[in-house]
Amino acid sequence: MESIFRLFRRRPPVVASSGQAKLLNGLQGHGARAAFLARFATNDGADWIALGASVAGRAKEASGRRCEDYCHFAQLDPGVVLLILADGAGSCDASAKGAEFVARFGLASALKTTLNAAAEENGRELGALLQSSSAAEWTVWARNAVEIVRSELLELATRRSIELESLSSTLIACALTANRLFVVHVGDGRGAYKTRSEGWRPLFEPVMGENAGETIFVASPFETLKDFGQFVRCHVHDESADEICLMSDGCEAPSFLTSIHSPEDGRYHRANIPFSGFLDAIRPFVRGFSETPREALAQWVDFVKQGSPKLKAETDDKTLIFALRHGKDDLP
Amino acid sequence: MNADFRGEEAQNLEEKSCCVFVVDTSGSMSDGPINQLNAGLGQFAEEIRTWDLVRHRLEVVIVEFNSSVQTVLEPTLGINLASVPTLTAGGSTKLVDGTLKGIEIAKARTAWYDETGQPRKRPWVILITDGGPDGDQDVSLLEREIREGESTKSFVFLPIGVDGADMAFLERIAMHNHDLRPRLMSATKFSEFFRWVSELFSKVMQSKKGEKFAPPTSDSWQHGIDL
Repeated sequence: MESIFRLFRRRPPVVASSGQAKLLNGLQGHGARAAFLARFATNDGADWIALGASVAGRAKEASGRRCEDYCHFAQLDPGVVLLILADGAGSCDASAKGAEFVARFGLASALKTTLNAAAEENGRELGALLQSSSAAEWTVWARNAVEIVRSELLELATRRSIELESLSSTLIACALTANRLFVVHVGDGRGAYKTRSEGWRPLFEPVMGENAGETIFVASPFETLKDFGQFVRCHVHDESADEICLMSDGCEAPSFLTSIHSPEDGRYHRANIPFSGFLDAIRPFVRGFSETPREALAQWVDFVKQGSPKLKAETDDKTLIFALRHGKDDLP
Repeated sequence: MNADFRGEEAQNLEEKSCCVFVVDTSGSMSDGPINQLNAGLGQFAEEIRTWDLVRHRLEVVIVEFNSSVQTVLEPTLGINLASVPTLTAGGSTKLVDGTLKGIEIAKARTAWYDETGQPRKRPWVILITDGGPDGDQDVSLLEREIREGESTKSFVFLPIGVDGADMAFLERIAMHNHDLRPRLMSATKFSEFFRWVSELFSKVMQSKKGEKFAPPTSDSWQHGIDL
């Protein structure tokens, strides 16, 4: 039986000990604005596959407008990978460019800068630094990285003679090691991780603005960077995850419970509950993908476009990233 | 190669929008116009009932006015719109009272959504008339309500005049937004008009707060306005 997970048997991991990530396919293929399929290993010797795609929602497709989401995969250090997505603000003229800059060029580079600086100061390798870091330390490094990205967005805006706000996008990023997950996010979108013992849990709570339906963006007009820091949320999960997903809000309808009715007060309340009925079905689904990387990536893109009724009906742009640790059941 | 996704989908509360039609069923709407209006409303109900994008999100209300005011369709979610009442024409034109009733219902529905924590968009009140209000109607009160609604963003008001309508009156009470200025419709174009309303709410449902929103073009049913 063909399976994408046969990739792990066809040849050994690129680097046997800790794994250099191998991007098995490029970006911007198969009708997606951005897409990737990556194979990598973490320092515990586990093999992983990561799939990501950013596609236009139905409203954009109908009008021929461009998808304003972007997704990216990067390696910060052997055994440390970074999954990133950015959702461009529909009301802003250059948000597609802003999202691409944040996800593709900005954050990975900025994080490497802040982490390498800290690593050098501590006389350690980046991976080892992260492994022993506290949540407070991660928050400092990640917020500094986002401030670098914001400064670069401002330079980009100045060069193009446009307002910084026109480059607005959200940001969700997760750095993944063998047994820790480091998250930084600005604005909405969802994320979840699965462990063997606890099942699915949220990676973070999406950040909404003060007014209903308002979104916070990396380029939002905060008066001071100190204020901005309050909206850059950072989390560390000391967990050995088997699966991780990140998504823009265009993919949350089928995959998260976002409101819960309370019989006590008769009201609906916001919720942030990963829906296992949807998320648990991803691994067996991916298991059936072609072992040809290009075909497998096309299958992932097609899934994000129309793989379930709500995904197909969604009018907003959609980004879905899934990282799967290779399990013993993944090969026949 | 066959990879079938066998997952379930989460069932979440959909963001609601409420459309209140305030319709003129006075004597001047007899015969052709009322028949066209009934056919148009029926067509609209069928479209909304079967359209995935809006059926779980759009609530419809119908208020009629002639010599009195009646709510003939209470707030009904699209998926439950099996049919709409058949309207008959006769009597005078309590246009102000009818529109005030429509605004009252729109505000009450919004309050209920907010009390129960349901996400919602601003409700729409769409007035359809082929005349002007009876002489004893308090037009200034209606004007004040609409101005307040405009400043507090509590509802969107769209006046539609049918052949013979007092367009100067509709201009007086209309909201100031260019896209909400009164439009004149031929009495034979109700079908095209209600198709346009379906497209309008399709755009409303797809819009995000803060995003620019432009109604669809109304060329298929709108006359030019000669003031």
